[in-house]
This record gives sequence, structure tokens and C-alpha cells, in this order.
Amino acid sequence: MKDLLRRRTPSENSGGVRRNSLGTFIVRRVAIGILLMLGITFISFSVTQLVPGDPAALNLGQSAMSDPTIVKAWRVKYGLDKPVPEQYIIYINHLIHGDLGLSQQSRRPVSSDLKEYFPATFELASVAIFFSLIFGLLFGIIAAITRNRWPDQIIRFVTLTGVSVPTFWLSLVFFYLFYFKLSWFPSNGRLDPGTDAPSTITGMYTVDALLHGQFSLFWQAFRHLMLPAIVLAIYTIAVLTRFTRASILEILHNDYVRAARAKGLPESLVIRRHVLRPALLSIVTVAGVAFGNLLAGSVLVENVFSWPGIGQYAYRSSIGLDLPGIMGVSIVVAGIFIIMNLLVDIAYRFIDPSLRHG
Amino acid sequence: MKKNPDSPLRQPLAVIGVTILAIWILIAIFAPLIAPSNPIAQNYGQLLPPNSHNWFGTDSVGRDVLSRVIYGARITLPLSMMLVILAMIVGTVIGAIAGYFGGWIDAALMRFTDVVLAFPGIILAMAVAAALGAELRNAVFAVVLVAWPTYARLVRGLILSSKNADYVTSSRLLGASTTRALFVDLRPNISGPVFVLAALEAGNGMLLLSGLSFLGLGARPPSAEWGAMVSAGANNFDKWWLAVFPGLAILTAVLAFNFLGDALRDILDPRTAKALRE
Amino acid sequence: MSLLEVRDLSVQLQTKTGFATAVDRLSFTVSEGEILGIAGESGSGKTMTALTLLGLLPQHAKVSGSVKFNCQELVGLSSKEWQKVRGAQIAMVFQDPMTSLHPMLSVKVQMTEHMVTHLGISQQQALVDAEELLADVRIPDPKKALNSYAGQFSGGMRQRICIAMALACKPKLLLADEPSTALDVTVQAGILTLLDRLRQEHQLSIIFITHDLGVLSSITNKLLVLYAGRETESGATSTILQRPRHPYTQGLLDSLPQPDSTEKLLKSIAGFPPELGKQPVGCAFAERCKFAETKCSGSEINPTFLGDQHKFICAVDPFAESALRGVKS
Repeated sequence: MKDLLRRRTPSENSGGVRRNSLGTFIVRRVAIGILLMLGITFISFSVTQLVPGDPAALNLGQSAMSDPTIVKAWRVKYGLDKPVPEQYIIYINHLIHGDLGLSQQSRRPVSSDLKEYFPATFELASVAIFFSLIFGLLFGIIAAITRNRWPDQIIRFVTLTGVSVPTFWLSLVFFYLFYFKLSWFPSNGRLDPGTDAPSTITGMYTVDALLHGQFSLFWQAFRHLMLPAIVLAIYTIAVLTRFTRASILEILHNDYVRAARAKGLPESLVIRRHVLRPALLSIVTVAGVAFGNLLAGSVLVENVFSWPGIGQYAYRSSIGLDLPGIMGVSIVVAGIFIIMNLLVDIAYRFIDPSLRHG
Repeated sequence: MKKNPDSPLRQPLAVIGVTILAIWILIAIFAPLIAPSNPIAQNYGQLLPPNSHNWFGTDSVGRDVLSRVIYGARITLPLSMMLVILAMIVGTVIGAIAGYFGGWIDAALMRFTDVVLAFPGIILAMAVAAALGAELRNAVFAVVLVAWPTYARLVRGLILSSKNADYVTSSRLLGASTTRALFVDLRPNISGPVFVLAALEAGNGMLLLSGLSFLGLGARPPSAEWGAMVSAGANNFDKWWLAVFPGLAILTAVLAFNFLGDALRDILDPRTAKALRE
Repeated sequence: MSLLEVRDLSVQLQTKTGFATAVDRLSFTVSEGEILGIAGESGSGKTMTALTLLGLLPQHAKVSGSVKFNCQELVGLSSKEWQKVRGAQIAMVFQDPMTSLHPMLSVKVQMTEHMVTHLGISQQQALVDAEELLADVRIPDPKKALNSYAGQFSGGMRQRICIAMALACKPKLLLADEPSTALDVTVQAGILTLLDRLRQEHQLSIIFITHDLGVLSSITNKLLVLYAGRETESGATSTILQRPRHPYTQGLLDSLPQPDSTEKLLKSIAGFPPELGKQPVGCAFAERCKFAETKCSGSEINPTFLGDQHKFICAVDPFAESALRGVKS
């Protein structure tokens, strides 16, 4: 996913889009996206075929395993009795109809599982990206403007540490410090034990509580969000700061910035109009990638904080070798990335109007 | 010898990075001599906080945490480096084939690379490691699978821009076959950026590998792998010493790789630095 | 009093190993309506000189000497004061038109933003003026051009836009840093004609910087030849090109390809200019000069002044006799 960062140069984009309309552009990208999804289904299907053991053995109890009829019935139920290529075609066929299969562990449709787990991740990701954008851009701009002086040195050191910290370890440290020792934040999960969730509108507890006017519930849900969101934000802030700094510095070296100064424009105008606009391209890309990553479910953070998001779902499916679960998560997560990519590309066309003219 | 103001030795970050790595490598090599006790020997009381006998405390079965952290270097460091080298080799070969042959081979390989890249690393690695069985060897394989595409893209890009470069053309005009031109003339230009990428990615590889072990998809007990040790600390999180010290070990090692990678990238001429960003 | 008077201008840049002199005690003047050509190889300090006239040097650069423009001393101006000079009094056209125009801002924005700042006119008025300017530099369909982006124009067109942009606020002095070098020969001629015409129409003074003596011969009134940041020869263009006295100038002239020559190899000056900061005491060109003698190095060489404002700095003066005899070099 990180690579998609590297693909974005304005020259590439403007070279590729000869036709001007936004519509054609979107159609083209969606078509590519679908092809990509197909490839992803293929890869995740292949991964599920790597399993050396017998999925039946993993999901059925010992006594059930000794009875061949039960085993066979289980296999038929999950379509495992058919030859592999046929299984793949059947899966694709179901996929087109929106059916992601049945989870072997929860015995519910995978799509229902995902619908339940996704809002938790979306909530967490949104809060994290919000803080990350604010601080990431701020620190990045400060670092670029004070290049090589002490604010820059400090920021560079801190961000380098930020991307080097193992998130699972940081989560534990924060959990220990801020929950266990200082009691600033509540413990795991989305709500205090024994509390009922607000009735579902969006699935996001904070939003739903607000919509129902339950302010204390909102506050409780929000406090539970904070710790994992902060851990996630730390990494994302570090990444965004580094990228913002790098892209601003790179642009500051460009001839057109010097030419703008040579016209006698005030420095603030030069920065605002001539520097930040191209920098925004890089930043939007990184922010999009970061948000995509956060949405994909930060497996490690969700694991430590017992946050029931799709990262947790992916983990449980992997451990339990729940093949439909694994495939379902892969497809949804990849789909999220493809959509984020498309949104970033659309944003490009607004930031850089020259792209519309090819 | 002329003083080179750009030499890596003059970058404080690079020096720190290399020093830390060197320290860890030495610790790994001399582990039996440095460690106070056997990492799997359950000699001490269980879950003792840091004290004069056990500077890092003991774990749930009475093993000395300090010794385990020291011996852990023998697992994590070589495996991380091996992982990076494997990903580098696989990625370079694939990227080279795509770049050299071009045409439909290039298109097919690059679509494949795109698809692998569309997966968030940890999800794919987790699925693969789980599918193959929870073993350190499988975890390494899983991470390599996730890491090779970045090298492939880089190498392909470099080869494509070099294929048309003047020095290759002139070499071929002098009679060199295309193969010879590629191997002799391109190799010095490609190896630089690839090694810098490796330095930059090494830290991520180590984080992913220890992350998999943390999730139980890598090292198996009683193996003293740092990620797995942090996981044990998660189960007894009030015994802070179980998780903090192995985590610090990971942090310092990754930090060292990142310092080194960053400094190397800053030293490069703009052209190669640009290639890395594309 | 001339429009521009530069006296003993020195510029020192900070490198990793200390300060290096990029421009060494340069003196020259430019009068109204004059075109001064500054000639020299890359690294001779010509671009640095131009940047000094706009205060666009890196922050760590040390400038000494005097630069008087319209009787105002430019050395030591604050950034706010520089903003009043740049674009409005002195403007610059840069070498590479492909990178000097902002790729994401429309031509209209780039043409008018400094007009509004400097001339205090409204945006609408600026747009009208900008359209006229584009027509003046012979851009077809100026209205459409204003709404277009840099990427849609060819190199030659972009350079014309840059020239229009530079002249938008009616500066008295235009600095042109290799304005046609990045363009092909046919387009070059067009740019030169354009500059000359604009000079006449707007009473513009131009400092034209290039390594190409052929270009300078066609357009400039006087020349200043730089080597390693130091002046080697200066004077009226025709004088210098017909009767050069400095071996470096002669070398530059010899290296111009002659279309009717029967020579097989191009003549070039052997060797390389000294590295930044490593200029020797005495004549910087001595190590490459075939006329060099021991007196050329080791101590400062005094300039020789001839009639017609012709000045050169050479201890040996190998062409003196042929010049006196009136023989063309």
C-alpha cells in the first residue's frame, strides 16, 4: 500500500488523462479497480488454499470429526467438496451478487459479520486521521520552514522515533500508563462493562449516542476511543509530518518558487499560493493512504485494546482458519483502498486544475 | 585522502544508527558470554520485578528476562536481515524481468505487483502465516511475500529509465549485446537505490515480523523472540517489565535501521533520491 | 548617473568547507536603454551576479561592495524593501522556461498577481493589461492563453510568457539569464528580436547573460567577460569581438563553430575552470592559458585601460601587437 505513495507524480497523472471529463476518468478508474479486485480475490483464494491442515478438523469438534456423515455435510455446506477452480468460480459468482459466503466460525454470513465490525474501525480511524491531519500538517510545515534549525531537528528526531515504535508495544505501554496507573482512560472495549450500546443507526457508538441525545453515553464511548486513537495517531502523525516536510522542501527548491519571489511577491503569498498547492498533492496522497490503512483495521492496536473492528475480525479469521472470513476481509479491505485511491485521484483534479487540460 | 564532507561518517544520524546496530550484532554474537543465565532455564521465582539478580525481572515461568532479551537478538536480527535480503532478491529479479523484457511480461508482472500491494501488509502476512502454520519460518516467508513488491517497482523503474539512457545506447553502439549492457552498465546504477531501499525497509520488516510473533503467528514458546515476549507481557500487563524491555529492544533496533536508511537517502544525489520516491 | 552602477561587488557562498568566492570584485555600469552582455562558462559567476541584483541569493551568502540602482543602494536591503524592487524596478527572465512557470496556476494568475501588488490596480484592469502584454510578445489568442496552463505551451511560447510577465510592471532593468539557451536555434532568433524590440519600445535596459558569444554579438552594446567570478575583459561589443585582448576571450571566440571552416575538430579551451573557492591569486585563467608566464600567478594583476571603455586584465597581453597593427584576430 505504501507503494501507491510513490506512484503519484503530477506528470504521470497529467500524462495519462487525455480526455478531460471527470466522468470518463471515474469510469476508467472504476474499471481498473474491478480488475484489481478480481486479482485480489484470486490471491486471497490462493492463500486459503495454502492451508496444510483440514479446515473441517479445525472447525468441528473431535466427536463430530469421527462421524464421516457430519464431516461430509459440513464440507458440502461450505462448498469444499467441489474441485478448487470450481470453488473459485462459485465464489466469484456469489461475490457479484453481494454474497461473501458463510463464516465458518460465526456461522453467519460474512457480510453481516463485516457490517457489524466495520463501524467500530471507521469510528476509530476517523478520530485518528482527524488528529493526525491537524498535527501532521502543522509539524511538517514548521519543520520545513525552520529547516535544519532546532525545531526541525527535534521534529525530525521525534517523528523518526514515531515510525520506529512497534504499535503493539506502544499500545501496551499506553494501556499500562494511562489506564492502569493513572486511570485517565477507561479499559478495553468500546464501552464500560455492562453498558448497553445505543440502538444502531450508523453502528458508531459515538455518533449514535449523539443522535439519540444520550450525551453521557457519548462521552463514555468517546473516552474509550481515545487511547487506541492516540496510539494510531502517533504513527500517522509521524508519517504525515515527514512527508509534508519533504514535499514542501522539495517544492521550495523549484525554479517557479524563485521566479515568484523575483516578481516581488510577499513571502506569505509565495508560500500560500505557489508552494502549498503542489505540496497538497503529496499530502493528499499520504493522507489518503494513511486513512486507508487505518480503515483496513489496525490489527495490532485493535488486538491490544480489544476493539471489535475488522482488524480483530481479520485476526480471528486468520487464527481460526475461517476461509470465507479471510477472503471476505481481504476483499473488503482491498476495496476500501481502491476507493480511497479513486477519491485521492479525484481530489488531485481539484487541486491541480492543469490536469483537466491534459 | 581527501576529506569528503558528504561521507556517511559525517552524518550524526548514520553514525548513531550504525553504532546501535553494531552493538546489537555484538550482543547477538556474544550472547552466551554476556547473558547472566540460560534463556530457557526456569531458575528463578516467577514474575519477579527487576532486582539485583534479574535486572529485567523474570517471566511467568521464572526465566530471566534480561537473558531472554539478549538471546532474542540472535533470532530477530538475523531473521530481519534475511527477510530483507530475500525480499530484495525476489523483488529485484521480478522487477528486472519486467523492465528488461517489457511488453506483456512487464504489464502482467506489474499488475500482479499492484494486486499484492493493494493488500495492507499485516492482513496478508497474517493470513499467509496462519495458513501455513504458526512458525517463525512461515512468518518470515509471509513478510517476504508482502515486502518484495516495493523492490520490484523500484528496479523496474530504474531499468526502464536506464534502458534508454545514453550510456547504455553508446555501449550498445560499441557492440555490446543488450544483456552485457544491462549487467555491466546498469548494475552500479541500480544497486545504490536498491540498497538504500533495503535500509529503509529493514525497520518495517522487523516490525512486521515481531508483530506477527506478537499475534502468535510467528515464534513459538519457549523461543525468546522479542515480539512473542511482548505478547507474554500483554497477558500480565501489570508486570510491566515483561513487555517493556523486549519492546525497547525492538524499538532501538528499528530506530537504528531507520537512522541509517534516512541518512543514506539524504546523501544520495537527487536523481536516485527521486527514483526512490517514484 | 547610470541606471545601474556596480562597484567592487563580491559574493561569497557558504560551502561545506567554508566560504567560497563566487563573484570577485566586479564593477560595471548599465545606462538607460543599454544592453550589457555578460559572457562566461558555467560557474563563472554570471548567474550569481544577476541573483545579487535581485537579492535572491541564499541566506548564508555574504555580499560586499556597492550596487546602486537609480541611486538607491541595493546591498543590505531588507526583504520588505527588496519586494518593492523585484518585479517593479528590476525583473528577471530565467533560463529554463519549462520550470519557471508554475505548472498548477493559470497564466492569468501568474501574469496579474504582481501587477496588483506593485501597480495598485484592480484585478480586472490587470487582466486587460495582461492580455495586451501577451499580444505584445506575439502570443496568439491572448485571451485563451490567459486561461491556460503552462503545460499547454511550447518552450518558446513559455519564454515569451515569462518575458511578458517580467515586463508587466514596467521595470527599468531586465535580467535575462540564458533566455534562449534552452530553446532551439530558430526559436532563439525570435526571442532575441523580441527583446530588442521591447527594449526600443519601452526604454528598457537589459543585462543579457549567456555563454554563447554568437548570441551576444547580435544584440548587445557592451560586453563583460567573466572567468571564475572575475572580470577578464569588458568594453563595447564590437571592439571586444573584433579585437579581443584577453586570451580567454580569444579562446571563446575560437571555439565558436565556423560554418565555412574546413577544420575537422572543434577548437576548445583545454582544461577546466577552477573549483568554487579555489581561485588562485593572480590570473585565474593562467593554468589553461597557452600564453601564461610566471608573472601571471602569485600576485594581483593590474587592469589595462584602452580607449572606448575597453578594459582587460592580463599581464602578458599577447595580442597587443596584432591589435596595434590592426590585424583581425
